Amino acid sequence: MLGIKKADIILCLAIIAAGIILTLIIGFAGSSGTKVVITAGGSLYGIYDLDEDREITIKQGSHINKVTIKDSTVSMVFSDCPNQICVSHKSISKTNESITCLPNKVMVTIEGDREGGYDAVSG
Amino acid sequence: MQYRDKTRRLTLSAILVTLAMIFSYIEFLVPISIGIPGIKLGFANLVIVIALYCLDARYAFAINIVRIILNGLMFTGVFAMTYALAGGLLSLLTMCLLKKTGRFSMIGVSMAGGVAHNLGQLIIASLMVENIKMFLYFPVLLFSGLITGILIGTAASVLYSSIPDRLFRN
Repeated sequence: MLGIKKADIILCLAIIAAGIILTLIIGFAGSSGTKVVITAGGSLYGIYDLDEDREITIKQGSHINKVTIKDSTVSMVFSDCPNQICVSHKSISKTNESITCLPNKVMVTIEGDREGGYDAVSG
Repeated sequence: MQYRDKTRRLTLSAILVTLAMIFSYIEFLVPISIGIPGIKLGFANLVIVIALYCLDARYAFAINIVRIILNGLMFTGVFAMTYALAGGLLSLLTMCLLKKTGRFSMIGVSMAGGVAHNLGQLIIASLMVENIKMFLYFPVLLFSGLITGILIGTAASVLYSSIPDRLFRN
């Protein structure tokens, strides 16, 4: 009744392989970062130190988002957006991890390598 | 199953639009959350897959677009509609192409559709936030699209083979 064909299985395996490869690439790139970069509406809002505990309020017109940095992890604690996906997102701490609030166009990313990488030297 | 009568096809399309809208609405009311943001089963796609096989690609496209626009205006809002359109159209385009090759079963077609749907939404998302780093989220969406696609494909395939012809014919 299901009639699974050979091409289905090949496609399935190809997608799984692509997923695993992408995960590995991103995983390797992700060591714990040093900087918290916040962009709002496509432009840079601010860069903050990951090791310094603080709360950041991002105001854009009538939209408000609140980001907390605590014990080198970052989380979105408040957003006035309708879907609240960003608030329920788990906290982030590694390079290239991010929390995005699509309705308010706010993106929080962690950057910078702890192991004396290029960013740490130059920045 | 092919329906010769034009009125019959129109009526069936209308019924399928309604059904897809109800599915979307139920999902909107009762989100089946599994702890990962942005992931849902996409019940409405079941209707679209059935439409693709019972009618044809043109009808499936029409049903999908009408469903998304009506849903957007009635429940989810214009913002979510943009995502749904991007996902829905890319997904359906992929499914049509794969179906045309004739090498894939319904499950394979739906599987690719699920992945394409998530890819479409991600493209719109990165355009909106103007940040290409959104694509770091792609592996998660790849797997979720695969799994939901297989589930929907299996359901569609069982449904398709058990819909009695006489329900829609004279």
